[in-house]
Amino acid sequence: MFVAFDNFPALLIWLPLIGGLLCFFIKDQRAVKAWSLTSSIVTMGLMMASLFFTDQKYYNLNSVSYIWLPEIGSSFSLMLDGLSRILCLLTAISFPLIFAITYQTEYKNASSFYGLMLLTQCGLMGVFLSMDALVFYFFWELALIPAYFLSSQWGGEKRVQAAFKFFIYTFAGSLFLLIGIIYIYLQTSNQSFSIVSFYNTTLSVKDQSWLFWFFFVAFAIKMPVFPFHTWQPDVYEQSPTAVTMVLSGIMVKMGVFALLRWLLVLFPDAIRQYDNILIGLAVVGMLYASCIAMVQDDLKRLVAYSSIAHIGLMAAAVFTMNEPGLQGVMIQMFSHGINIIGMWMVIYLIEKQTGIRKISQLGGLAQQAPVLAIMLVIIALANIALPLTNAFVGEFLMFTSLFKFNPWYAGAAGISIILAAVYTLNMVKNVFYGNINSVTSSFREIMVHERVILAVIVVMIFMVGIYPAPMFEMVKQSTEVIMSRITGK
Amino acid sequence: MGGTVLFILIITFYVIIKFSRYQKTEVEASGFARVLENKWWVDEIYDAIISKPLKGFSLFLNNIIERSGIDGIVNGVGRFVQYSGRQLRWLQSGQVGSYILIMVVATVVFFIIQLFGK
Repeated sequence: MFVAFDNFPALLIWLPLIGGLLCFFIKDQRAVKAWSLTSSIVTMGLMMASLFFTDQKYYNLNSVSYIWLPEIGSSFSLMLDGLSRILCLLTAISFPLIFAITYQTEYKNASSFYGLMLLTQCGLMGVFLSMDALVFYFFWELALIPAYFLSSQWGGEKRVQAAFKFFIYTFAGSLFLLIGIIYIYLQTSNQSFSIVSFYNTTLSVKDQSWLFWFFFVAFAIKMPVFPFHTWQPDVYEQSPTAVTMVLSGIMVKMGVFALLRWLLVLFPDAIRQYDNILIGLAVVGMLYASCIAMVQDDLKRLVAYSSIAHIGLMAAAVFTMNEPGLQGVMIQMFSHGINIIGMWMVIYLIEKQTGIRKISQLGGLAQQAPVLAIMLVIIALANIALPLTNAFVGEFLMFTSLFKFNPWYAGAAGISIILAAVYTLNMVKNVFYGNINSVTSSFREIMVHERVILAVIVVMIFMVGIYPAPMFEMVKQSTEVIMSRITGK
Repeated sequence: MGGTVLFILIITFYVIIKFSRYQKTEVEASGFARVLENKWWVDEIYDAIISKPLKGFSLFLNNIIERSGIDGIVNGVGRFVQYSGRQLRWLQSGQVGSYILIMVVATVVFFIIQLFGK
């Protein structure tokens, strides 16, 4: 019933699912690595191919609906529109890069590791593509479960504790989401879980104001925004870096994506009612996370807090509910994913050779590995949204939207850019410059394949930074749809 | 030849004099020169007003608010659930007599609520 290979959305789910399931049966470590890399490259190739078929006349290639649970009005509906396309593209590009950079890492029980990684990719694709609330919820949980096992089985010393916290935190949030979904389902005129029925259901302001929080808590935990964020630094620190890349590069975007796809359109009145609180919370979170990032000595925790700050800006821009904000968020989701995966790659390469992540114990790496230093500096500058880098495009639009909403919020949020420069450049200075010590004296330059992978990241940073027009084109229609829904025009 | 030697001697003498004076003036600037020498103490002012308080504030946020506050609450919820589970466990003693006692007490309580609660 579901096994049809004549459209992109179904293939984008089926390829990683089948690839992942097959991994469990491949016992040889080298073979499973090669298989998972090949599988992810095929998915990426398919995603790239789909970019040539975005026109309305290819609607059937980009949208599909299978009969699933007709008794309760749920169908397996998937669609590749602008918003899902940009995030599926991020997912499809990230996995081969992650598999390639960590290719030499030896995992115990590698077949399960790579199998679970690809199942996570399947779950992520499903979340971004689903056009039915129940299917969305199904994939929302499906993405969480392999991620939990990946963190708890292959991570650091306190991995079980951190993964358990992550699971309970996000699972608790998801249950609120489920209650909210069921309530709206009962309000729909045709008792359906389809996104159109959900969008067309008129909810009273009173209903919206409590339902909003049920959805928001689930999404806020996933992103995460202050003060729902404490699972994140622990999990990033304890997970294997490949998993951290997936979590921070793609999985946190699930939350932001869900705000755009569901929250904004379903509860616009509630958002108007709470916008000052929500944006205030996001801005406070940005400053809070930036300050904490400044005093971190562990590279992973520093990047984790920097991510919380960046996500805070995205959340604030979403709740401004104006066009530049939405465009900025959509583009920034892609850019942030690429940049943060680049940052993790550099951290991974440092840790691989030195076994150390403490900033205070490193130093002088630029003398030993100038290519790595150049790559990091570019990625770090993109992380602080320097003009001509990808993050500048999104951040500029998001700040414009915040400024339109309230200049004071924009001003306060602007401080976090300065703080981002402080902690990022401080990290670059302390890790890459200064004197070589006993730990870093034996550090070698990165290998050719590692240079190529980082070069891909750097090229993407400049491509989007210098010529962002294709990105705008990609998100244009989705922005217009959301805007027309929330303004009622 | 004589002229060149004389010239070199004068230059050498001049260098020695200048060098010794340079050494002396190096010691301490005073008055406005001192202000200039310290670049108007802009770095020090910046350090005292912004850098150090911000770092202190960040440490406060990290150590107190983040670890003991927000994370403490989150972990506290987990600990509370585990603690209450451990305590409630004792109710399941396996002694039939105590179960009957609890049942009778509960019945009486419900009866009282039904009778007088309305």
